[in-house]
Amino acid sequence: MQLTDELPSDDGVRLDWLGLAGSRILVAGAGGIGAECARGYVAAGANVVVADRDQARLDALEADPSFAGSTICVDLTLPGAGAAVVGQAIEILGGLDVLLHCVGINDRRPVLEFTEEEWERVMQINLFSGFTVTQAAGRHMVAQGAGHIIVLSSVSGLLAHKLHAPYAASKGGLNQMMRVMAHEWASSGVTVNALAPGYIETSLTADYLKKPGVRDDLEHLVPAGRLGVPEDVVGPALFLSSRHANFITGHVLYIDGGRTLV
Amino acid sequence: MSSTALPGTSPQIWPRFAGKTVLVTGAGTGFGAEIAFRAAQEGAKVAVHYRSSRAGAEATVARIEAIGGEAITVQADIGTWEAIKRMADEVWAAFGTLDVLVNNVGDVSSEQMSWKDLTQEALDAVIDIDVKGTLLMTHEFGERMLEQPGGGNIINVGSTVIVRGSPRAPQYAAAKYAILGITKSYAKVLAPAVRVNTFAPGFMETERLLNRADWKAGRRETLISQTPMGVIPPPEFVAGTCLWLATDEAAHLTGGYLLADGGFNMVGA
Repeated sequence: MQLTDELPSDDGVRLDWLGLAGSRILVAGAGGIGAECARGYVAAGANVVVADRDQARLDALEADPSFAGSTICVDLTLPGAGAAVVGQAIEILGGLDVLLHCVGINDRRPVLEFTEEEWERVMQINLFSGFTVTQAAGRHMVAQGAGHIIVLSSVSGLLAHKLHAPYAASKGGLNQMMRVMAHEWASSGVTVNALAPGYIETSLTADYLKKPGVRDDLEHLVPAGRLGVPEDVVGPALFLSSRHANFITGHVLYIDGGRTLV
Repeated sequence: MSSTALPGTSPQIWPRFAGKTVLVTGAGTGFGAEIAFRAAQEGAKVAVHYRSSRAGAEATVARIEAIGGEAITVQADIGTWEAIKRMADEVWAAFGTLDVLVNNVGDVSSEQMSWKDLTQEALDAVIDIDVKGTLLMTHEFGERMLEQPGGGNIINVGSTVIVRGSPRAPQYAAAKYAILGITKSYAKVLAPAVRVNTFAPGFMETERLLNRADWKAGRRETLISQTPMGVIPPPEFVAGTCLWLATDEAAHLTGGYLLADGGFNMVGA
């Protein structure tokens, strides 16, 4: 169903409808989903800063004509990184209205084969980075009495996928961290929500999807009959960043083509 | 947070539903009327359903026409399949297609103030309207949407009670939980052409709620104190949020639910 068929160009639609023009937005994580959302925010007329620890990813984004924003190279697993990157973003943008955290890795192996170091690495990248950057952004937004924070969760925060122990734990942890923050900051006008995609075709899932039979097996698990693409996450991310979602907080929004039904 | 701090109360309207057709059940009053009006503001032709409040449905149509929109009224008792089929025939005859169905009708046993006051009649009424009615509407309209080019979208209006339950009227919570089962089942069988989702608002200051005895006797203040965002909004505040589920922005969402309750569900049952 194409509801926007008869409307003007994409950026025109989002500019007017979402009211995000001029919003100051920090996107933490320049992977497939983070980069696509950053381009979506730019198309909506927002001012965007993207942070990632991979300079090559940031260079690719800066070279992209559909991204007119700034970048910061930072490792969000380091102590104090959240406060530092939020401080820099506020300096560049002149304030901060929205934070989207989408930093994450997966490490697929059976529970019995994980070392403690491998467990800790996923937790640091997925969960600690989420805490440090959302806490710093929350501190600023609570003081200003407004703001939207979104963390990128996953259907793995709900479903028990084999080979996903630390990933699933980190995403479930993000969901609960998000809910407590939402509760604590609601009276200050700050909303905190999670987006929970199913399988999205990005560099994180590319190698796995190339394995024989994997793609077919996964597609069979999605009632919509296809895997997600990063663009599927952009609309919901922009929606939760907008005034249309001002009364939504503490919610995990699944973007999975029905994956959690199966 | 005071009610004056709700910056989304009158957002700029963008015609997300230009050229589209929308049926809203129970649109003569309360939340349904606001969803119907909002859909029309956003460019849709709207079918305004009612069962007995014809004057209310006509008032909703008049509001829509006053802003230059197009709307018709349709009547049916959604507890009976035959009436639903007749209404579907009327909608397709009038519009030629139906892009969005919002199953808003629901009985909340608003006269009941305590679980102890449950009656057989109140239980049967809620099950007939909320469960049978929503299932039959989703079944009949979903099947017809499958057959039309472009598919369609169904939004079933639930409630924050799908997380918290209802100590006031347990049958109401039971019926709203059933809506999740209906949503998930039909989302799966109708995918990918027809998306089905649940929208779950918290308390809204509809006329029905404002007139409820417990609301006037302090329940409002209690609920505000239990709502993290500290506000019980008017229905028009979340009508656009509800309709978002039927837009392209939500193209990969089906079988899910979207809570818009100011965080009320997080506090726990």
